[in-house]
Amino acid sequence: MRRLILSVALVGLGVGGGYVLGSQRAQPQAPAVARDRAERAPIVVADRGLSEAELRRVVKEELAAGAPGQPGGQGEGSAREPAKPAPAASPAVLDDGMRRVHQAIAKRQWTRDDATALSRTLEAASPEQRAAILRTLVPALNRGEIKLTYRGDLF
Amino acid sequence: MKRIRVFSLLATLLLPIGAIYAGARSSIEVTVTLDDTGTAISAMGNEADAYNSLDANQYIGCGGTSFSGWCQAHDATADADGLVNAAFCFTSDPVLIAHIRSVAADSFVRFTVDPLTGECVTISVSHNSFYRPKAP
Repeated sequence: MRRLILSVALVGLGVGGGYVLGSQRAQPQAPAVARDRAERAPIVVADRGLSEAELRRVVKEELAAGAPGQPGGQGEGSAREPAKPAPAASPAVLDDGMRRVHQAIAKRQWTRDDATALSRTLEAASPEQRAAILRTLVPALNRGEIKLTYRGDLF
Repeated sequence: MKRIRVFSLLATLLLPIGAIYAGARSSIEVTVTLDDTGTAISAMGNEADAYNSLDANQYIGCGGTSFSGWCQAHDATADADGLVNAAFCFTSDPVLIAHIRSVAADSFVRFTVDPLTGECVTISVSHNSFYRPKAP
């Protein structure tokens, strides 16, 4: 009888051990789920007993305080960074970017140096210039006319 | 004593049962789709599976700045002249840039490309428990 109990206990130990091992293997996924939930957490307005009129007043005050040029607002010299204006279009920027792309097509390769240089060029380019440069580079990559010589960001 | 040995052996055999029931798992390595002209028009795959793959060629992912974004992918084949084994796209669309921002290290990513302009047409991102994480 004792042997039988001991045997059943051993079988239980085996199954339980296997289950624990399986659970441990599955655990590394958990942080990803948690992170995703954290990133996508909905904005919840806590119920603090504010009436609709009070809420409207608070929102108006906050909007007024945030307007540039308002006394006490978030205008010049405040901690909030103003939106960056779009870069002015300079023909030299477009020329520089297009020259690099055409050189890459001629060499049939895109290097890390090309990527770094193009990244700087795109920062200085206007949206239209940026689109013109990338509409030349990217289709050439997709046709296999240019190969990346490194493993890293495209630009 | 003999019976104990038999049951010990049985317990050892049952040990992997718990490991089998560890949750659903899915592996999606990188694939690149071409159109009739041989131009890459879409790619998909799981970032962690690309990283964990046995070859040294696969990758997939997206990146960008505040004003533009891009996605890129390379399948398992080694580069060769005339072989299209990679796909790229770029975008300045704020909606697509927002999708790019949600890409994590073990995300499934799929993007489609306008072959004439190279612009991203769609970007899909998925995070699920059945995608395995990157191995060290």
